[in-house]
Amino acid sequence: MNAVGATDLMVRRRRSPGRVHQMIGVGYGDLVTPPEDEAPLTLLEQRFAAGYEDSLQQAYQHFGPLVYRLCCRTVGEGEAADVSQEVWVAAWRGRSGYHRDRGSLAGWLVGIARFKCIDHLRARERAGRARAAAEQAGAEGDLDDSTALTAERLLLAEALRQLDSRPRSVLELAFYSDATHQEIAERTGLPLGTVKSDIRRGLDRLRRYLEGFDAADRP
Amino acid sequence: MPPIDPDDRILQSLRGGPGERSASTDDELFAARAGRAARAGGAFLDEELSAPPPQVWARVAAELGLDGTEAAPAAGPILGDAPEQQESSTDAQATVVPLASRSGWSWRSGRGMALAVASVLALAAVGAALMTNRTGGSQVVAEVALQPLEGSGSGQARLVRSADGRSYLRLDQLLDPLPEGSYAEVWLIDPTSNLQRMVSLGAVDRSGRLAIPRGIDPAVYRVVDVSIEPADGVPTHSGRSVLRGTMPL
Repeated sequence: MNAVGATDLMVRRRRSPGRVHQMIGVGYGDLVTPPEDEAPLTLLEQRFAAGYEDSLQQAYQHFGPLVYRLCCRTVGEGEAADVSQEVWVAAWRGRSGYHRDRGSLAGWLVGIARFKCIDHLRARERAGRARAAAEQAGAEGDLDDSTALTAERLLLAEALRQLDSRPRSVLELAFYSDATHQEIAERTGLPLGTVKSDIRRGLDRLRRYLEGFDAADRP
Repeated sequence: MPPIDPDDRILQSLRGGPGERSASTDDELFAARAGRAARAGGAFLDEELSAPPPQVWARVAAELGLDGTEAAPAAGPILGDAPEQQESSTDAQATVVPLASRSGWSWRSGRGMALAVASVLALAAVGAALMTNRTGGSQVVAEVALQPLEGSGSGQARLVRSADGRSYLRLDQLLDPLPEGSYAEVWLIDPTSNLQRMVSLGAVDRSGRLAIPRGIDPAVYRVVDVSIEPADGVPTHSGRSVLRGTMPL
């Protein structure tokens, strides 16, 4: 076969046969939701677990903002960059601890970040620089809980962001409006079966993120 | 894990309504946990994310000694979770065509090699799975790892034949952030046509199942191409391809 180089494609082409199909409703109309058995980040997760160095940078590009946000929220913006750096270094050095079958990479990274943030807050507490904040947070258990809860919130938001727009809207309605599936179907005009499967798949996705989070060991 | 509150309204909504239950207690626990996290703050879904300052990556790379080196993988298989699948399917390996490195793309050869190896291993690993992968009357007949032509994206495409004989492309991709006002579009290209014959399958963000139009033979249109398209209403390929792979057909 001929090698196909992208340089050959620099010229815009005449309308292709597929476009005609598409215009009569075969193309976009048949676009359906992602198959439930496939996670879109599968390849990245596999390559990260296998130790391909470029996968770290790719993971950083996709989840760097998520990790950084958790750091900002827990240790404050002033030190978030330093803690983020520790998280990524620890994640790469501890990559053998990541297993795809135990959950998502995003969840696992946020799990690592949670530990780093807690360590950082404890160290700061010991240094006496955050006594007021520590008192506000209460006992150590509360520090763990509040950090974990912040991490889970960010992670769930991230998991929802990964969904296509229709299942995302359906899940947002379920979370926010306390609507039943029937009510969501009426409000969105979607078939009840679609609403149910969107919620089912969405919850499965959230679950994989939370499982990844739970699977992270303290670095 | 806190106990499940039977009157938890978010949980009721996720189940379907008052009185309904999820499939398993385990599901309920995770749904309850999601509900708890959802209520923990007002801005649950609208959390603004911003990139960390640029020095963070530079320091990470420096500390790990990654700067500038595109080393071979530290340890063999791409599918670390499924080592038992690696030895299979030498014919799948033979059909991988590292288009990007052949066509002289400007990425460093080390990375090109690593990715080519990655795709071979990925194909080898799925080879065995292809033999048995029949779900709901659909059959995966081919699979290819998509290689980046620009940037650091990656992806997988699977050709699926459903019980009624229709063909679909299942696509999972991870692209670098797209420029404002643009989207990713998936094409099938006939590699013998000097790029004159191509079919658009539609736009996909990350994952999707795209119908292959009747009359389009995927064994002929076997190059899967993902392009960045400006949202300008022009229905033709922009010429800016970011991922590509050839179906082993």
